[in-house]
Amino acid sequence: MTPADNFIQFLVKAIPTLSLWLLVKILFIIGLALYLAFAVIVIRQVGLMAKTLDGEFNLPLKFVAWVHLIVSLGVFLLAIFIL
Amino acid sequence: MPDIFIAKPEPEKSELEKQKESLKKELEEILAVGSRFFSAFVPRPRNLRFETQEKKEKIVLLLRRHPITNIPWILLTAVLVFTPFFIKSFISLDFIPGNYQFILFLCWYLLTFAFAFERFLTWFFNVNILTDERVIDINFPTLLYRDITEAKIDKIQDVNIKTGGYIRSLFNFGDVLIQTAGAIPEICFEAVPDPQRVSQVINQLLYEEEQEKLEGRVK
Repeated sequence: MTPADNFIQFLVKAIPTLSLWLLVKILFIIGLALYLAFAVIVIRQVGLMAKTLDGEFNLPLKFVAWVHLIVSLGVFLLAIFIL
Repeated sequence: MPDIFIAKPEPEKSELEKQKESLKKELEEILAVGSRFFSAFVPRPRNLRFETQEKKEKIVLLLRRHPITNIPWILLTAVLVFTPFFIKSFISLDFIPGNYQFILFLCWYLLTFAFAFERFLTWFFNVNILTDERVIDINFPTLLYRDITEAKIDKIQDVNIKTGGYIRSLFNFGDVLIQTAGAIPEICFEAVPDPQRVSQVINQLLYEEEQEKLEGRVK
């Protein structure tokens, strides 16, 4: 048996024991982890934009981007703990 | 009685200086109706600099797309905000456990916020700048990618205005196409407010540059 066959066998045995909601939880956590990466990119993007055009409204925008990252992190942790 | 003091007659201003003054006056008149920084037509913005700005270079006009162009995404955001409530009132979500519903709700609003914030950033930072030396078009087409196009004022060959359609005519906005003799043949200011006035400003700047050339002061 090849390692791939072993892995498929393992999945076939394991799936019935996994509950549907556990699968949904894993999907939520993967999705939120990707969203967290996006929130970091938004901060980088706002930084790049503010560097290109330096105006008085840049500070509030950077603040909003950071709040967005913190909220994203909060939702990610909440999903891990309450789901 | 002999005169004790005779004032020297003021030397007459040269034709060139007179023209220059009248040009400046005209430009001031065009730019007289201004608005705040957080707007789409900002003459001589205060506390604003762009990355490639030279020390003595002054921003004459900052342009964004007309605010009316934001209406579609604002409406879509409003629809997205109310969608969970609509869904809840029409479909029973009892088969989803409460904690999952709560996280789903939070995820939905995170995505809605991200959509609105991205669209706002795109509108706010995609700008067209007219300085006393250059014409600059700053675009952020996708995440972490920027595209800056610029041309010297004296390279401008032609300025065209494109307006038309019901909305554009009603709210007085349109495209300003600037043809240049530089490496980039055309710079487009898309959906800017009052394109006629923008074209006038560019022409005034062009005349000023020609005047400076005649005086031999051009950079």
